Amino acid sequence: MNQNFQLPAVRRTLLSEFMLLITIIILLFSAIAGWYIFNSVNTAKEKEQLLSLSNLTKTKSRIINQYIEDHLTHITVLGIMPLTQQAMSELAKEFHNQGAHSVGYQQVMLKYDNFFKRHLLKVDYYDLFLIDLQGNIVYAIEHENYFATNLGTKSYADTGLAKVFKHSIDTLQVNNSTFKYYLPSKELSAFIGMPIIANGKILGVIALQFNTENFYNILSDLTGLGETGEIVVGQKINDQIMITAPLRHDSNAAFKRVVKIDEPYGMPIIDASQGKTGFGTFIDWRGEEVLAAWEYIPGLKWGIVIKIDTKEAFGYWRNILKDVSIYVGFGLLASYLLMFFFTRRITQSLRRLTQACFKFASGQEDVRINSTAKNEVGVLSAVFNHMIASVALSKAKLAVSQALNESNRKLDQELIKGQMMVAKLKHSEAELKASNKELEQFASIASHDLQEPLRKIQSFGQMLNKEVDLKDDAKNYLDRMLAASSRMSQLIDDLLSYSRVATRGNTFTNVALEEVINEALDMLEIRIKEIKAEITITGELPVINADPAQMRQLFQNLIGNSLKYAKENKKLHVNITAKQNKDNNNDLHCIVIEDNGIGFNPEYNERIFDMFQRLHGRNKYDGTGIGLAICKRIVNRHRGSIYASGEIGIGACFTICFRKNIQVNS
Amino acid sequence: MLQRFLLIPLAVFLTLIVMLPDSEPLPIKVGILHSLTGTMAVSEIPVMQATLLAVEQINAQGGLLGRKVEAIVVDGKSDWPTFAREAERLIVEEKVSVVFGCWTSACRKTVKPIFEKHKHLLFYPVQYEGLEQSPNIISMGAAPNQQIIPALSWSIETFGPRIYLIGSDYVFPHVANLLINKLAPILEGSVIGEHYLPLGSTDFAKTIKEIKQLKPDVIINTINGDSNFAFFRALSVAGITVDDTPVLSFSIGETELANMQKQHNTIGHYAAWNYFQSINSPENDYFINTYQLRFGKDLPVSDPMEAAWIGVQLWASAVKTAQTDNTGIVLRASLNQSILAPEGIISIDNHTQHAWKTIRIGKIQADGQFEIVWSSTEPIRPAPYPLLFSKFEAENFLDQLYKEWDENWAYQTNQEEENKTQLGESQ
Repeated sequence: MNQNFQLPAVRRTLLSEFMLLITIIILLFSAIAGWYIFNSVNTAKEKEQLLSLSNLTKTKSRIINQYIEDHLTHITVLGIMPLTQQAMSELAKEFHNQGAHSVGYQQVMLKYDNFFKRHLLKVDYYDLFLIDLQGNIVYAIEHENYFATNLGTKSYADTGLAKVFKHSIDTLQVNNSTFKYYLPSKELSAFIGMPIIANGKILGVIALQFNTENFYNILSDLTGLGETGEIVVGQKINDQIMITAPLRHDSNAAFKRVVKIDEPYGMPIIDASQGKTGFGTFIDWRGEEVLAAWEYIPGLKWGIVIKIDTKEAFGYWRNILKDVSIYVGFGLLASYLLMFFFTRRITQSLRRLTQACFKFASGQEDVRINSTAKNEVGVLSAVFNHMIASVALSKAKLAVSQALNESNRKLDQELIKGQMMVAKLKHSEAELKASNKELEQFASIASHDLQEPLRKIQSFGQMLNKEVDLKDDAKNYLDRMLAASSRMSQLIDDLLSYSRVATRGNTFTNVALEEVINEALDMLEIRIKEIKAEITITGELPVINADPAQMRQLFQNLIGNSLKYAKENKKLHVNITAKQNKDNNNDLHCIVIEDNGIGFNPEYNERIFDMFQRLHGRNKYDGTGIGLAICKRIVNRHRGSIYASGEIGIGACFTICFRKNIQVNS
Repeated sequence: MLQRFLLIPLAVFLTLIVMLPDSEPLPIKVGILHSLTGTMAVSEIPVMQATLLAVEQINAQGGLLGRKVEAIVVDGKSDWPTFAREAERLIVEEKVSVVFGCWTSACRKTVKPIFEKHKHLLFYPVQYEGLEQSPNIISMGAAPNQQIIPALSWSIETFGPRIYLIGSDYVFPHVANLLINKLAPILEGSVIGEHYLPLGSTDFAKTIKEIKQLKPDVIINTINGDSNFAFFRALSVAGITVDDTPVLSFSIGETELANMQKQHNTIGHYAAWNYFQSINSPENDYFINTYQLRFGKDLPVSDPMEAAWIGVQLWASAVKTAQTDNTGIVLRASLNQSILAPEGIISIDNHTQHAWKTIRIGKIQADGQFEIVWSSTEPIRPAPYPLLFSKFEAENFLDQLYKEWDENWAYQTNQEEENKTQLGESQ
């Protein structure tokens, strides 16, 4: 553990990161929402503005139309008045007869002057004319210098007055001209005319001159058009559009400003003066973007455009933007505060955690965090506490395990020792087996090889006994020598057979013990008859897997043993019993051979099977003391067991047990 | 926890998307009511086609107020009661926003009460005799002061004062000739003869005889339909040439000429209209080209067709202004609408509900087209009641005619039989 570790400084706080995040989120959201709202509101607003402009245009053109129609009605009423018809015919007559300056004409004129003047005042005209069929202006109220001139002459041919005159005569219909500069009045003028017809004859034409100023007041009324709104009217004359009224932004425009038909920014007035209706956004003659609506005024052959600068129409956006900025600002501020308190809670917990960690890392062990937070930090604190507890527990465990390790190590050493001992034991076992084998070989070899000199000793001893006539003493010695050598030969044979139990065994087959015992009894028949022993077999003797020769030897030895140690004064009784027994989950075949011979001391129960062990003197019972050792060896080879029990003077009992399912290699 | 936070806005979002209406708005229905069979079919089918063309063009440009315009074309079968019945059906059952249709004045006068009863809207495309002003009809064709009177004035100035009037025996020729009778003297002309034939009649013997005898300076012809064939053949047979006596017709246009071409006996005569196919303007080129592209190369285009085509556009413009297809509101919005038409600027007069129109006189050419020999140069304010006629006077006159014709707007004797022969001929 590095004890020099220093707690690093926080370079960028969570607070600042959250603030950045929230700023980005709010600004992004405001931008997206704002952009969307701006666009949709703008579209809707633009449509609304355009529709309202369009309605304004309609209203304006309707007012203009109505203005003209009112005048048409007036003149119609005036034209069909008998007084007008009368005036027309009388004035025309005097005019032609005596001229406009004659007394007669003046008299007639005065007769009607009041009537016309009264009308003129009532219906707001600039002037009133009566024109005869030849085009002579035979009456006018204002008497400007056109009075008494002929409309057919060159200087008048193109005037509005001449036009309405001609149209009245041709179509017999009320009609009006549009505004045009009219020299006699030295201003813009428009006229309205009507044929005067009486008694199926046309007398002349009555015409009125509009009050231009009043009419233009309609156009200069910019109510509802704000600071930049403008009404543009124009007329298509040949291939260009003539602006026919002063503009708000150009008071000298009337009949001076011209818009060429192919001019890009004159679009609405070009369209309007060619009969098209519409609305839209475009760049006007000043280069300003404007919203405009336009239509055509048939009565004047004019197009009218009402427009307002986009800047003004959408001026409210500036206020909205300001408001929105303030709201967004407040929103940000509120979010910052919330963020500050929120992150402070987290950072405080984190700081406590950090300090605790640092303390713990520095080796302090009783570190605990008391966190009430319900969020992830709370969980982290709990986990931290748990971790501290776990680490303490681990430390304790570590101490125990160190001790355990020590003892383990020792145990290992012991184990190694043990293993070494086992190895040694194995080694000695192998050595033992080898020596055992050698011993067996030795026994076998010795038996054979020892027999040879013995037989020579016996042969030569017997030959000596026959051929030589020995003294009694010598004969006694020789007999004793022969007897000794014969015993030796017997000993060697027995030894040989003992060793052969292991080395010369036959392979195991099924052996019926009854057969084997009968064979053994046959072999012992002489002795049995000699001592008149009684042999009984009780129970069914089993068939077992065994070496048949060794089995025969086993029973021959055991029964022979009983026959040998019979009591002299009592009839020997040998009982052979077969039993089924159980031992350690193994089924056993047990055979018990019981006799009522001399018996033996129970303390020899074990020793009785030792080699060359004899319990009686040789002169009383012959034998080499090897028979029971062979028995034990045979039983061992068959993984069986043999026990002996006896009581002196009562008898001996041998019990042999074999496993039923014995599988033993030879 | 996190999943719930994500799921809630997701669910809200999906719900909103599902709930937002997505269905296409219903189409705006319009009725087109013309004779597609019977004696008037030859004139009215092209007018129906021009109307349909305008509707299709509106749809091709995205419809109106975001809706398609659905045209319901109905056959009036050249039979005025059928027209009346079908008009009512269109209004009541089909619930159309507007009806475009009719040709003859008899037809118009028969359906007029129906449109007035239902406060509906009819765009009428044909020039007529005037003396009528219905709050529910917008007349796209010429009023008398936009055709009959200026033409009469021009005729007297051009050909001389002695006028012979011939016309079919129904309301339009009678009213037209009434005006001529009244105005000619004022214009220093005089009517020296006047004759009417039942619609579809071919018997001009008496008339020709009279013309030969009277030798008028000009014949003003208000014969309608295919009787014109017989009339010009009779003139030609009688050896009356255009140099002797020019005929100024009010009811022969390019469509009719196309059917009369083979005879060549109309060449050099005159007709008065507001529109001729030979007008040279980009708007006219567009109209002719699109019509011929849609309905057949080299097909003739005539005044009522142009008026019908423009009528639909004016109505559409009114719908845009009104921002609804509500009939009553559109009717009000239709007034003061203007449009740059093939014939020039057309505006609907607020006061009379008639169109401002330019009058033109055309001289029949060998190719069935007209050479424009005179025009008023600018649109004329419509005046359905000419200056010298009071409404009262006009109604009296019309009432009298109506009664004379057994409560009909055309001469009725043998009408059925005549119609039968006509039908046979036109088929």
